Amino acid sequence: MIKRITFISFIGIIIIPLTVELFAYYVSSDRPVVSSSVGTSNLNELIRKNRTLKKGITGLSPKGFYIVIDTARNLIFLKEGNRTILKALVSSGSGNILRDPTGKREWIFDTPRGEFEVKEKIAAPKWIKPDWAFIEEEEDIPKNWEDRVEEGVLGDYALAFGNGYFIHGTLYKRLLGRNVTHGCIRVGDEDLETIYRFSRVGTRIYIF
Amino acid sequence: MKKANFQFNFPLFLFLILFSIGGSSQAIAGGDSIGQKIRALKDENCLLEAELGLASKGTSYIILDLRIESDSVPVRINLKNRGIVLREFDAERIRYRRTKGLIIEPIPLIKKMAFFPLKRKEIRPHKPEDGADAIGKLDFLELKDIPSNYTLSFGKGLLISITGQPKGLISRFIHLISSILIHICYSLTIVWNYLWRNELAIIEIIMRKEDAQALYWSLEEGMSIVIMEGHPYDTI
Repeated sequence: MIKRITFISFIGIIIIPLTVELFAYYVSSDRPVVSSSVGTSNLNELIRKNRTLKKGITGLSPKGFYIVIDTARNLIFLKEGNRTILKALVSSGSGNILRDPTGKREWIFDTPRGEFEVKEKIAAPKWIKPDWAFIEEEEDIPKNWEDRVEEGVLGDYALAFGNGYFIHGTLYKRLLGRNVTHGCIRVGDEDLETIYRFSRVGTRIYIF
Repeated sequence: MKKANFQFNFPLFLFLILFSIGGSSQAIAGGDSIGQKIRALKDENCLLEAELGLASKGTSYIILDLRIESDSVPVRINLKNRGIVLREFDAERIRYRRTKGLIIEPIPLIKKMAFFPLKRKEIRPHKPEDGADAIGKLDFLELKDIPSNYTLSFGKGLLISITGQPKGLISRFIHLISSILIHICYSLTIVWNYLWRNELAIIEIIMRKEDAQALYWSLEEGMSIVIMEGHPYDTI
């Protein structure tokens, strides 16, 4: 009886998976690779096309300085071509959710991903507090615009990149390197100054 | 009429035979290398064409080149936008199996699947506190909250399984057992889809845990991947 159980276990654990594995190996390695749809087979023509395509891709890459933001590692890079001019720690979106007590609105504090450009360069920026900032602190949403203005919290400079998102300074320097913001990118003072100096309106920003 | 005198010259005969064999084999080898070059260029042009289309949109995309260039250079998952490499993720090991070859064209990411998916934290409104205390109580998503073992389901029957290599001894052992089980499951899936004539390609990638988490964080549904095939079932 024990011998039979051992035999069945042996088949179950070793033989069946091995058979499946071998079959999977066979069906995987025998299929022909589906090649490209390019019909031409003239070598010179292919080389020419290769060069044109490479040139086309290179032509799409940003000219001059550009900014790359890695939200997983919370790093900002100021680059020109393949050269990195500055690498610094930042704070990016927390990914948290805030719900309006009325249940009508919801905010997800993610940093947007993709390609953006500097829309505006602002020195001594003032924060115009949005509704969520009041809801988060259990305060009533003011009716006057002036009551929303807060000075000094965004540092010395800010670069707007659309939809109310900014690259700006911070009072919470010990949180640099962590995902704590409401979607904006917080940068340390010195690094922010360098980025501000090298950027122009139209400078490309890549966030991932 | 003078009779032609043909004398059999064995050394000359041997030389001619060897020369003709050498010449023909050289010609065949030359033809093969040009054929291979044409094939490689066709594939590369396809990859570039696909990339050009994606790069012109201004959205991020992934290029996965499974051809082995050299032993010292690992296979890399390149996250790109407008042709520039935003980040390179090194793969420690790759295993690639399929029931039919992949066409070199953009394939969109449909879903990120994980046993323990990412859960967003909800903010409970509260009165502001003093700076230091408030910072201490902050609750936010971090890389450690991100899954390191997950499957990316792309269109056209492409599945990419990402496994983050754990560090501790016990974790490594558990990881080994689960990897074997997952591998057998994928083998069964391959066989099943082969029998039902469905198109399926499974790429199993093992990478550093932090890289696997960062990749999960960086990928968004709808993002496209272009894969340049290597030989199937390669363990790199």
